[in-house]
Amino acid sequence: MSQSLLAGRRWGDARQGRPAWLLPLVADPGAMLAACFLVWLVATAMAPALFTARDPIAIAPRAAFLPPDWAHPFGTDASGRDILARIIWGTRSSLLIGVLSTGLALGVAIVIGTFGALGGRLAERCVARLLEVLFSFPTLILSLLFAPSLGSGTRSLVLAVGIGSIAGYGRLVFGQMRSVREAGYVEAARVLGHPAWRTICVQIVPNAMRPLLVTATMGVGQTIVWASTLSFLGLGAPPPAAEWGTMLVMGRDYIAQAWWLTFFPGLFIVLTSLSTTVLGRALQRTLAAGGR
Amino acid sequence: MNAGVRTRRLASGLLGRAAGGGSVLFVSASITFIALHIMPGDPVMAMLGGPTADPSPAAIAAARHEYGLDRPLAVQYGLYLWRLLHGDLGVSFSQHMRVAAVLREQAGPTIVLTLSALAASWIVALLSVLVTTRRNRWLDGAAASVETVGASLPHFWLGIVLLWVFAFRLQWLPPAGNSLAALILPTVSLAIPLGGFIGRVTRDSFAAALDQPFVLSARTRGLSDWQVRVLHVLRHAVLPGLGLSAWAVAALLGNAVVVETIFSRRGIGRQLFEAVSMQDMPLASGIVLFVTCLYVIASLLIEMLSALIDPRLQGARR
Amino acid sequence: MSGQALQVERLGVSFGGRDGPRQVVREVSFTIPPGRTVALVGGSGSGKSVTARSLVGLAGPGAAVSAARLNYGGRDLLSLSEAGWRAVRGREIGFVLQDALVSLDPLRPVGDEIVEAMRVHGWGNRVTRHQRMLDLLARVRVPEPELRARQRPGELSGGLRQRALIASALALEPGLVIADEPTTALDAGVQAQVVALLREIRSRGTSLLVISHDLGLVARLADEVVVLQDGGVVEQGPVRRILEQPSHPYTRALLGAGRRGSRAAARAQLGAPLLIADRLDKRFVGPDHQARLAVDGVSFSLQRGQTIGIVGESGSGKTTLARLALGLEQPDGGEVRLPDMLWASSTRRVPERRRRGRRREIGVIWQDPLSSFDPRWTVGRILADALTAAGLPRAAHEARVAELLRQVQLAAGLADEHPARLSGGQRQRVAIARAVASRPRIIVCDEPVSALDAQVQGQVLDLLSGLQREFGLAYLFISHDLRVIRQMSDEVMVMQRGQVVERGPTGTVFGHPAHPFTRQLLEAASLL
Repeated sequence: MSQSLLAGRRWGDARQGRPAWLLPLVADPGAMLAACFLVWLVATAMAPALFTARDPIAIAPRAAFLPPDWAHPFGTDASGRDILARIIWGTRSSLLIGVLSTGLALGVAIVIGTFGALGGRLAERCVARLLEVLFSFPTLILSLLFAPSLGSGTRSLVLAVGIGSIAGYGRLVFGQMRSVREAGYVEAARVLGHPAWRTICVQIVPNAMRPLLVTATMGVGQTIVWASTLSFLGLGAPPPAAEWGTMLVMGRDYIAQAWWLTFFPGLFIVLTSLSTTVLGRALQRTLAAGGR
Repeated sequence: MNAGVRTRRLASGLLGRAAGGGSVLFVSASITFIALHIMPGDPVMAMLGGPTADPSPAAIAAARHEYGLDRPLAVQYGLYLWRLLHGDLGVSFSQHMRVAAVLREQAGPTIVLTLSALAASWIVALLSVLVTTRRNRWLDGAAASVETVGASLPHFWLGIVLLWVFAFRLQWLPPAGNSLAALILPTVSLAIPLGGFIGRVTRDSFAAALDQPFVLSARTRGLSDWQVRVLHVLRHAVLPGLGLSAWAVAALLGNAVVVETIFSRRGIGRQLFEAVSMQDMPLASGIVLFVTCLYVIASLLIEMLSALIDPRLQGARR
Repeated sequence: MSGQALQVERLGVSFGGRDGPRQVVREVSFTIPPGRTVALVGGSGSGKSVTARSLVGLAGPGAAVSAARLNYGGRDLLSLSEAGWRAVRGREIGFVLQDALVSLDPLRPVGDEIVEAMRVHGWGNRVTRHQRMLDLLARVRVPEPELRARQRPGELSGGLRQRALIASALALEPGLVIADEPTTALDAGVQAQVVALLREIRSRGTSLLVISHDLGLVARLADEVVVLQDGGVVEQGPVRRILEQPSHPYTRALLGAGRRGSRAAARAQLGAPLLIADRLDKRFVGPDHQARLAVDGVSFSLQRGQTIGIVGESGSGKTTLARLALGLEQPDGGEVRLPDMLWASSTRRVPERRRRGRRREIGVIWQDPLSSFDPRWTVGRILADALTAAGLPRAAHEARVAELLRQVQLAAGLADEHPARLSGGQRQRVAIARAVASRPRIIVCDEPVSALDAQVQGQVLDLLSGLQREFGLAYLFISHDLRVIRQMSDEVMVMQRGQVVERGPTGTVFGHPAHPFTRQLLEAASLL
């Protein structure tokens, strides 16, 4: 049994009276940290003005390229803007991109996967083939191909990353549906006399979706990473937007003299991705331990 | 089973695999065609020198005709597929060279980068898993944490950090170029996240395999912990990771785009990026098809390797 | 080699848990003189497996083993370091685990597994090891040893696999062989082979320690028996005395559970036929693309109040037959009829819609109830779901659920529990409750007690019999366990390779078996 901050501890039965899903979080320091960080991020996204007084876009040429110090914990960029402030203001679009693109990909994947698993032999074969092809497309390349057509900015990032992620979720949904379809309780339902549509709605779909919750949680972090990668390549919101990926583009040319321009936004991306992964794993453990 | 049945099965398996690969390529080509045709902007303008040039209407019409861009979309699609079937990848708009020639020049470094990153990630993952799984609570947990963190690092950020630390600050390694020394940082940028991911997957299956009865049997014969791990568990543990390696190859090829840009390496990743921004359809589709080809070959090889390790997989094809 | 004795005195094993150390084995003492056989028996949780494994130093991670004395051949085992243990394992003491399918490495050829002990202990060279491996395979009577040695466990039949596993433990002629549940989960025929093999090992002078819950096996093999309950010895002594004159109540319970009588002759008068199967065939295409008949020309007529027992080994087609009877599969030949309706036919497609309305008349109980329950649901929800299917209005659910739990002798409070937290016996009772929820007339029982402990088996079977008497149910009872079939059935059908090779009233089939296969089964179960 691995005992680590990030791997989490396996836990036993739920104690009476408390909501089952809350317990593993409390028992697992890593997951607690991750959850706190994410809560803070969400708060920042909703009300950035509460966390910083500075204007993320206003220029202050005399304060350009200041290294991190007490006044500017993360330094300033080429136009003197405070990086911490920009990160805080950029949280909203980054989280939005992550959640929306994951949602988009998940939605399309659920439709495709369900249709393939429950629609009959031919549908199953077609969907299997389609997913295999989509899967062979590196996400980045897929996003890259469609990004220019979608313009630049947050909306196009959501679409580009969303389209690129469909294959991964699709495969998961498809596989899950197929295995749940064969489950003992599905056959038991048939023997009891339940009609097929009822079994699908009441039993197959909910059971198949459970592991998706875990994957989707981790997926939000991953899509934020991909989106920032696309931004880095110049396909995101154009400067001087206070978006994490855009900040990376702007700092790219100054790596040698001002490392903090790219380091801190990147750090936040990493922390967000890490938090969602840890949280996702903790959720996985809850589900595996029989929680609801 | 007799040899006749076996060869027949092998042949039908290969045929099935070939047909599968073919359809993958077909859909791949089609998606590329669609993507590049719905792009806004006029490729002809890009071809004739970009927004700054000011070609005459006659020149525009001539170029359009030459590249077949004045034909209806369906016809263009048909011609495109027809040419692909004959192995004709066309001529790059932006580079004014045959696409095949561009690929020949640029594919090499990318393949080298991909293979070395794949090898490096596997080596790191296996070492970590073999040595630390279930040996010592703290070690196991720490190694698992390191893998998780590693898997969460974006390639480009890692690349930038490494670039700054090793190339600019410490000046141990060159920041750009195509030499062997210049291969190290890009490889590491790609290998750490992938290694973390493979490590996590392999660690889980390693731990699961350690609980199996046959491991206990081996111990009752007097095998040491090490012998059990290497001779028995390893084989079982690598199977899931191996299955993912085909996807990993595709992902690496995709991520090469970023890494090649950061480290100014020659390669088809960068070429793809530039081709897309120039709306250079032949080159973009040529590269995408090439990448898909590599993926198909890689999955074939990996499937054969998996079947070698676990013959039970031979019959069961999904 | 032979001539060593195992001495165990006051062995104790405890595991450290989050709430303090848990004693799993306490004060266990026994001796195995050279060439003799001792059996450790007990139900699950009795600590017999842990005891056996601590004799080779493999009690498990976090185990604290203590003993006043633990000797083998005069050598003190307690003071052994890990390296010392490794020298003993495989060479002085051999170990055979249950079920070769998972106890042999599925990815390695069987020959490699056999040679492994030799290699690790530095015995011989490549050539001599290979030769010895072939000799061992021949000794355990595996035909074509050269061919078999190259195959993986999955490619061998159950019997061959098990023998190869035993061969791997014998590689260095250990003086003591420990066999943990050597016959569990095996077909009757294979069980007989394994017993013969163990007997032969014993006759060569090797000491044997057999762990089992199967007292029939113990009677045939052991010289001395040690009965364990909850980690402690409740009784031990020569096998004759213990089995014939058990003094401790637990021993008596174990024996009683194994011994089952025949079906009470005074049973209800049979009623009208409820389910008729007429020359059913089902084709099945194997992985080698060959078509086989999983069910071949099977007919039966199940009457009200009757139990038809279907017995056969794995692969005989029993489960496929059950599925055909339930209308879950389309027959390739023949048909299934209810008294007033065609249920399934090879010539006409009966729409599921038509069957659905009548499904409440047929209930099912599977071997593994847990996989037939929705993992999210509590017991109450599972039963309510069955009631919904039967058409009972929502308002009446609560009362009926309570009534059902009472009928299967479960506490009413269990309705809020998850099946995963219940014991095997309790889960099966929930499954039974679900099956009778719609007041069916027929219940198909597919190996309903095979996964349960001997004691619990008896309780569940009694429950099933009771319900049958009370509600006049008809059972289609499938099992590979002849004792269970004898206890439950009025009529028996013996299946082999999809065909019914013998059928008749239970007394006749068991008393005067006509077909050689039936005889073989009875012999293997020592019922002949």
